[in-house]
Amino acid sequence: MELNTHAEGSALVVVVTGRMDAVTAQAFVDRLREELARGALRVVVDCAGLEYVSSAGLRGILTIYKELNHKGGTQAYCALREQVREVFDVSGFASIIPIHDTREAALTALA
Amino acid sequence: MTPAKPHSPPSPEPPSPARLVVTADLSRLPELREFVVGRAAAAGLPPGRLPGLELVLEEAVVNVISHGYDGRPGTLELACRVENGWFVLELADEGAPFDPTGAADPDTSLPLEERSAGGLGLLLIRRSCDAVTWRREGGRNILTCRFGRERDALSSGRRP
Repeated sequence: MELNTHAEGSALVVVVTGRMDAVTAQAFVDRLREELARGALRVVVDCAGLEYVSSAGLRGILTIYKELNHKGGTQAYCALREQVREVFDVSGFASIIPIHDTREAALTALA
Repeated sequence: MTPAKPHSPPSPEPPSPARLVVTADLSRLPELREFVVGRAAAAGLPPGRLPGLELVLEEAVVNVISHGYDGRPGTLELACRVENGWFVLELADEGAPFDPTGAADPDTSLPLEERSAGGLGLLLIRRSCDAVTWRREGGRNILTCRFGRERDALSSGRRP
């Protein structure tokens, strides 16, 4: 899994590539915590390159979702591939976490 | 003089091992995945079923490590076979008895603050394969997961 971050307007865009599984999920949590500690309050996670997510990945996503919520921040996920979308649906995460088709739509929603 | 060998057809590829025994450790996950996906592809399981197969494998292996062995060292045996048209993945471990088919589904409709990610692995296993059974045999947990050729998405198949 690879993580790249950059600012777009007032939002932080996190581009996730590869697999978020039991081996890599903690790296996502660690990296996002760093960004939250630096003051990120609007976060878009772009999943266009995310090939696979498991329950370990979901656990990491939920951890960060709660932590940012407690800070009064907002976040959205976008561009989910089929496997990732299905795991979000089956787990009920799709009804908790805002999901948008495109990064532009996610950025607009958080603006 | 030895009799001439009868003409034999071209020998098929030697079968690659359908069984793999490793130490139960997350670092082995990529190797396990390669083994299982390779066997499934060779068995003709449609590509659309492979993500679900990978998911079942990971969730089952994580369960063995965290529940069965509870962090202690142990072994994990994987076996793949085709049975009555099903692709069958079987995992065996010598950890504490743990029946992942007996746990209740987590409530996926709870509001955010009451949600935890616990139990989601078992839910994903059940939704990603067509049938899953557990048995305790000879001091081992044996988890058997069956995959048919028909379904290609974990949210579109029949639900238990």
